[in-house]
Amino acid sequence: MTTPRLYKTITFELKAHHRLISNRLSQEENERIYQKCMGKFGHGHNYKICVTFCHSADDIFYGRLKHLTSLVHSLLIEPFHLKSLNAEFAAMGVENPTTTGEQIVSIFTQKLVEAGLSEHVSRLEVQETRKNSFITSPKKGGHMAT
Amino acid sequence: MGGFLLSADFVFLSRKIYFSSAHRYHIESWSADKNLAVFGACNNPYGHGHNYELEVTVLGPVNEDTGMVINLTDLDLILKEKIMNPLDHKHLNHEVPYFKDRVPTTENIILFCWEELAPCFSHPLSLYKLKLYENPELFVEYYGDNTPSV
Repeated sequence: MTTPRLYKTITFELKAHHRLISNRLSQEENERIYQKCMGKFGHGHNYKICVTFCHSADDIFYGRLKHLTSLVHSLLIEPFHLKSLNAEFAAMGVENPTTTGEQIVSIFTQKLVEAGLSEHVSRLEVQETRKNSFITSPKKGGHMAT
Repeated sequence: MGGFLLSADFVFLSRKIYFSSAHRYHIESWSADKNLAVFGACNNPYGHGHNYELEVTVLGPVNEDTGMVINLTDLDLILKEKIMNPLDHKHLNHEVPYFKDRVPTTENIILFCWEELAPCFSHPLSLYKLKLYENPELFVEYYGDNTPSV
């Protein structure tokens, strides 16, 4: 008999500034592709960062949940909250900080993997607005969850 | 630092749209009594309406130049042409040929949406999942040939 797997999702709020722009494209291409999202001074969102932890029903997960939640907050929220994603991603060494939702979720996924959380986090969702969301899976070899 | 962006990885992108339509549950070949027995108030002669919410999830690699799976402007154009124009503020039974011989249940509406949208995406981009809410308490999901995951 297999041990039941449980999924628990914690949602964080990240208020940040960004501006969609690619340093690999011309000014005209940037304007055509990103339109108002590359407005000169940028704009911002209340991003919702939804982290789904996966664990066995019989493990001691709940004892570690507080620690894992704190760790995710320190990795994904604290460095970026009330800041510019373009500036922070550039400071991290991201060559082309477009700050699209796809890039945000990819970078956040990488941060979770590098912190050794790939075994615990099965799904990561970045909700940019109520209409847009971006999802990937930090779980190595795991099926991406939607 | 192209390696930082997980170029080999795929990202799910979901976009929500909203449309308002009327429908009636009715099968012509059935008797009036049977239609009423099976569909109840949903069989009322002139139909009724809903504010539908459709969540469209596409799966694809992130373009390293644009940082996008698909430009939302392009996706919105597809959704407008394939979903909004035919369905929004329409009576599905009378104005959408697909439902001429099909009851416009939530299940059949999501199949219509899949048939319309799936051919719009080509490799490596694909339609992964649709989720259609008829109201906050009722929704259906459809994955086509994809494997549903948690």
